[in-house]
Amino acid sequence: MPIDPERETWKPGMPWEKALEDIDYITGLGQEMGGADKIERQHKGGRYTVRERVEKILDSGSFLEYGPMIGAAEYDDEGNLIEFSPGAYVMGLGEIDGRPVAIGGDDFTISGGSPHNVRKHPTDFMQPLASQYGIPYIQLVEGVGHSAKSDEAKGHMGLPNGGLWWQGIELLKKVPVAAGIMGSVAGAPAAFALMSHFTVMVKGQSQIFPSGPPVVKRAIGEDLDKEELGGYKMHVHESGQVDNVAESEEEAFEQIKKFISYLPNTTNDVAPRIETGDPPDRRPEELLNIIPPNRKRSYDPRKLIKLVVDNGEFFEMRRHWAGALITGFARLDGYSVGVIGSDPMFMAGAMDGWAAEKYAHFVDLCDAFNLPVVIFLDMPGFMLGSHSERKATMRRGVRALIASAEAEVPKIEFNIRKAYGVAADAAHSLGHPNGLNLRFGWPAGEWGGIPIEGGVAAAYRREIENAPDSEAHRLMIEERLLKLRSPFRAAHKGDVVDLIDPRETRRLACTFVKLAQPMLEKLAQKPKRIVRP
Amino acid sequence: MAEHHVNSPMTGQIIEISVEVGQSVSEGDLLIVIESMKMENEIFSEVDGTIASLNVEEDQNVSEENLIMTIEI
Repeated sequence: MPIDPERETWKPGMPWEKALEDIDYITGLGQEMGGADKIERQHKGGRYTVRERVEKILDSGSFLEYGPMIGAAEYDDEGNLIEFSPGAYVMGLGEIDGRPVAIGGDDFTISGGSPHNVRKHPTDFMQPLASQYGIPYIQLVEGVGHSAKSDEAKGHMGLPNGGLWWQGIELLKKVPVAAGIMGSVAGAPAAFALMSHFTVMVKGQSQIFPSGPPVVKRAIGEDLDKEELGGYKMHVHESGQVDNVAESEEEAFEQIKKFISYLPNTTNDVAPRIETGDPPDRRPEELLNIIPPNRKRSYDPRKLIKLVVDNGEFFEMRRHWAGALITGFARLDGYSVGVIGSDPMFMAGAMDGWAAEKYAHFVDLCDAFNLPVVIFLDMPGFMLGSHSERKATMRRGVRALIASAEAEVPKIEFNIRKAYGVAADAAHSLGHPNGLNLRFGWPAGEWGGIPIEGGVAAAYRREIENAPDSEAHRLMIEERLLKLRSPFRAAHKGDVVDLIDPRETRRLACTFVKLAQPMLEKLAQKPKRIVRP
Repeated sequence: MAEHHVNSPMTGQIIEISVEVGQSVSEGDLLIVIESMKMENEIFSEVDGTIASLNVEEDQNVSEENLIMTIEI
C-alpha cells in the first residue's frame, strides 16, 4: 500500500488511538521496503528480501525490530506525512533455538542497499547491542557500498578515516560474528561481511570484491563477469576469502545457525553442553581397520572424524580451501569442541602455506571461544617443492606453530599415522614449558624429525655415493633405520600418554574434554586477543 | 559441449592412469594416481563426461596446477 498524501497525520493533542493507528500505518510503509516492483525484482532473481531472511533465520515470532519507522519523512505545512522512504537496513534482536542474537541485513530493494539520505546503520544499534549484552551477531550482507552519487549530493569527497570499523573490531573480540553474503557485495559492506568469525556465500548468487566488474574494467582493463571475479569458485575454493558455500539461502541460514550453536555467547563464557544421547564410551569398531596397512594408501579422514564425534555430526569450516587440513566443530559427550584433522587424500596431508594459515586461524578461534581442540594428525611434514615455497610455507608454518603454542585451551591429540618435522611441531606444540602431553598414538603411528627415505638420502649421501652399489647400500641403511620407526620405541620414552586401540579414541577424547571443563571456565575469564579473519 | 580441465592438485609423479581418451567417466571415478610426499594420491573425476585429451604419461613428473586431462561435459 503506497503512502496516502491526503491522510491526516496524528499531531500533539489528538487521541492516543489515532497515534497508535499512525504507528501501524508508518510501520507498514516501512515494511514495504523499496516498493512492490523492487521486491518482485529481488524475488525474480531467486533472492529473498532482507525481512524474509530475518524471518527465516530466527525462531518464529522472535524478531524485535529496532527503528522500523526510521526513514526519510516529509511533512506538509499542516503537519501531515506526504512522503516516506525507509532506511536501507533492517535490524534488531531475535532468538535462534531460544538463544538471543543481534541480527540485521541490508535492504537491497532500497538504493541497492547503499547508504542514502537516511542514516540507519548497524553501528547505531545492532553492534552496541551485541557488544554490551554479550550475544552473537549475525549480519546478512547485500550491498555495494559507497555511491559516487552521494558524493555529488554532498558536494565533497570525504577522506576515509577508519571510524566506521572500531565497533566491528571490538565485536570480534567479544562475541561470535557470522555473516551471510547474500548477493553481490562490494566496498564497505564487503569489509563488514569479512569482519566475521564465519562467512558463507550462496552458490551462483553471491559475489564479493572490493569493486565489481565495471570498476575493475575501468581500472585495469580486465573484463570478467561478477561470478568469475568474486563468486564461490574464486573465494571459497581458490582464495579462501570466504569460509563456506551453500546451495541456497536456506542452507546458508542453517550453516550460520550451526556455527553459532557450537560457540558460547561471548569469549568470556564456555559453550553450553547439549545432551546428544551418544554414549561417551561407545567403541566405533570400524576405527580398528580404517588405516590401510600400505602406508602409501589413503583413507577417508572425514569418516574417521565422524566415527569419533557425537552422532557423527561434524560441521566443517573452510572445507574447500587448503584441503590438506580439515577444520570444524563437533561435540564429544555433548561438549563443544574444535576438530583439526589431516586429509591424506589431499597433498598427502602435508602442510603448505594455506594449510598453515588455516591451522593458525582455527586454533586462534578455538582459543578465543574456550573450545578444547581435538586433533587427528597424519602429517608427513611441510609440503615440498617450488609451488609450496611460493606460498611462504615455512613462515606461515611458524605462524601456525606460534598460534598453537599460544593457545591455552587444551589440545587432545591422536597420532593417527604420520607426524614429521616442524610442521608436526606446529600441530603438536605444547606451548607452555609445563604444557601437558595429551598425545595418544595409534598403532599405525610413525613420526620423527624427518621421514626415513628423505633423511637417509640427505644424511648418508656421501656414504651412499661411494658405495659400489649405491642403490643397494641406500636400501640397506633404510632397512636398518626402519626398525626405529616403530611407535612402541617412542612409547617406551613417554612420547605419548599411551599407544591405544583406535576404538578407544572416542572414550579418551570424551574423558579429557569433560575433564577440561573447569579449566575452560577459568580460561574464559582471561582477556582475549582478537581473531583476525 | 563444455570442457572441464583436470589440473594436478600437487607436484609429484604420475604412477597410474586409469582412463583413456574417448572413455566416459562419472563423478567419483578414479582418473589418475599421483605419487607425492610418499603417498599415492588418487584423483577422482569431479564431473560426468568423456575424456577428451590426456596430457600426461605414466612416470611423468607434474607440477601443481599442470593440466592432466580434459573431460568433455
